[in-house]
Amino acid sequence: MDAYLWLAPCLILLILFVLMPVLEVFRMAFSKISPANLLKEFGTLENFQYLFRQKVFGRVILNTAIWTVAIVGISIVLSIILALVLNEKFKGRAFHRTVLLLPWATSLLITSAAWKYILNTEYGALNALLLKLGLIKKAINYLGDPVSAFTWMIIVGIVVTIPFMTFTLLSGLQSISEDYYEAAVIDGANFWDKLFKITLPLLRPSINVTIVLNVIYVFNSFAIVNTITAGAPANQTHTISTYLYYLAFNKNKYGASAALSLVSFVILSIFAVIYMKTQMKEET
Amino acid sequence: MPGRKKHKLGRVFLYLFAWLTSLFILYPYIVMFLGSLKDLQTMYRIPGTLLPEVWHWENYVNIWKDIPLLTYFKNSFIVAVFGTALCIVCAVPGAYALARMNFPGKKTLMSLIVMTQMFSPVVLMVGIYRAMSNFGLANSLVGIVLLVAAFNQAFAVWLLSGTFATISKELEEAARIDGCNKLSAMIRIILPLAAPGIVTAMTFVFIAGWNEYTLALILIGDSSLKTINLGIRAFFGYTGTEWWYVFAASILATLPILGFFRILERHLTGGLTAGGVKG
Repeated sequence: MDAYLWLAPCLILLILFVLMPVLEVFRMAFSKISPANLLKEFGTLENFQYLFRQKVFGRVILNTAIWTVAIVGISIVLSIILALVLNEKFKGRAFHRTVLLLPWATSLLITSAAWKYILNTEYGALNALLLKLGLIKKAINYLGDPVSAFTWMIIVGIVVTIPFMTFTLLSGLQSISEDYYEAAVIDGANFWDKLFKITLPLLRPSINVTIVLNVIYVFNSFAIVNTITAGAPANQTHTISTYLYYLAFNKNKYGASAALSLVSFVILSIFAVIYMKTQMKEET
Repeated sequence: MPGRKKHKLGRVFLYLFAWLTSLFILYPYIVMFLGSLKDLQTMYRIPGTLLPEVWHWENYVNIWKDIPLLTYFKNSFIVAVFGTALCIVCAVPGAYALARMNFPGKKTLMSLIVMTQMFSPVVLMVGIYRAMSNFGLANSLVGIVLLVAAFNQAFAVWLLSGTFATISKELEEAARIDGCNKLSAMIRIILPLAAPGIVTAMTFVFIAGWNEYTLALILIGDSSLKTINLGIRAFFGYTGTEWWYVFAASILATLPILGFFRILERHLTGGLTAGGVKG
């Protein structure tokens, strides 16, 4: 049929370069793999057993959950405020908008490299600044303990998430007709009435789209953690994606890495199902 | 008047929030800029330094001689340009079919395509590594181009089918009556009208290609095939990272994208809502 012909290029690309890797991941997860990366004996659960035996496995899953919820949650609140601010006319608005494009235009590796340098204890820029301002007496080791290191990486994650969110919400705001507000003012509505009864409800579709997309992006995000701590100290700051990389390319455990890929598919699928259920509930 | 006072307070908050956010975002860029002008001694002084003691502007000249930056730029350019071209060429007809034609399995196919968005290259890394080795495309830029095109299909198809759906059917039918077939109707009527959406999609894929890091990290070994991010990554030696070159290279790599973004800002978000929220 005609339509399939039109779809063919797109489908061929997806089958060869997305579906094939997915199938390879499945095969590897359930196979014994020789150190030379050859597949032997399909149908073993050894890789999963190895994965679940790792002491840090629970930590990795918990970290990923905290990572995703904290970054998306805090970013969406800040982005809504920022979008409302940038939707107003004020002096310097064009400047602030350009600044906001910066993290979006910069590769995650570059941003992460900059923060790795900033947070360095001995010669890092943040300690240098705080010491000079007299705000601290001696250098702080930001990346020394897991909690502090992970918190800082979440902050970096928020900085790189806000631009895309804010611009999506801004375009949503711009599609809201002025008429609503004019009518509301006549009815004597104040700022908060307008915000909660007009703006936010009408912004709902944009908010939903940006939350879903960013949950997926942030869940899968790799460069920040891989560059700044690479899981250190003691593998305590890994998320699923950096632990996957660590298992495969540092420990040569391709099978266990593939098994963890499947675990992450399951988690994202659960999210997808929950999301679709709530969407359907809202629509009826 | 109480109303006025409240209004003023709102303005103060507005300026404060905008400036605090901007300063926080700009901070790493200021650090990178100052760092790119430092030398070895200033860079590693303890405690750290804020400003370079001597402003080494020549770092921006020497970097081209000391590291193969031009090769890195060329490779990233190849990945971004060909990845974008291939991605859009495949996504446009697909999105058009999904937006405009009726055929069995259409809804399922659309959800399946969009679902591939969930598979980030990061999660599939071991599978990608194996599949690309089987194809003989590991350690090649062609492989990266194909993967960039494939992993951005979902987004491009989703955005473009939303754009096509907003174009009136009558226009197309009129063109058909005038003797155009489906293909020429699409090229003459639909594509020009869909231009904003196409520009948005192209911009996103181009940036994704230019900033691509994970795929190159997994697949590229040859230093002559390294992209910018991989080149910058290579600087993180075990001892004594040459931070001034890391930052100079980073700034040089970011500037063209920022210029590009500034020009296209309007298209970026406009196209996104047209495709996203309605589609």
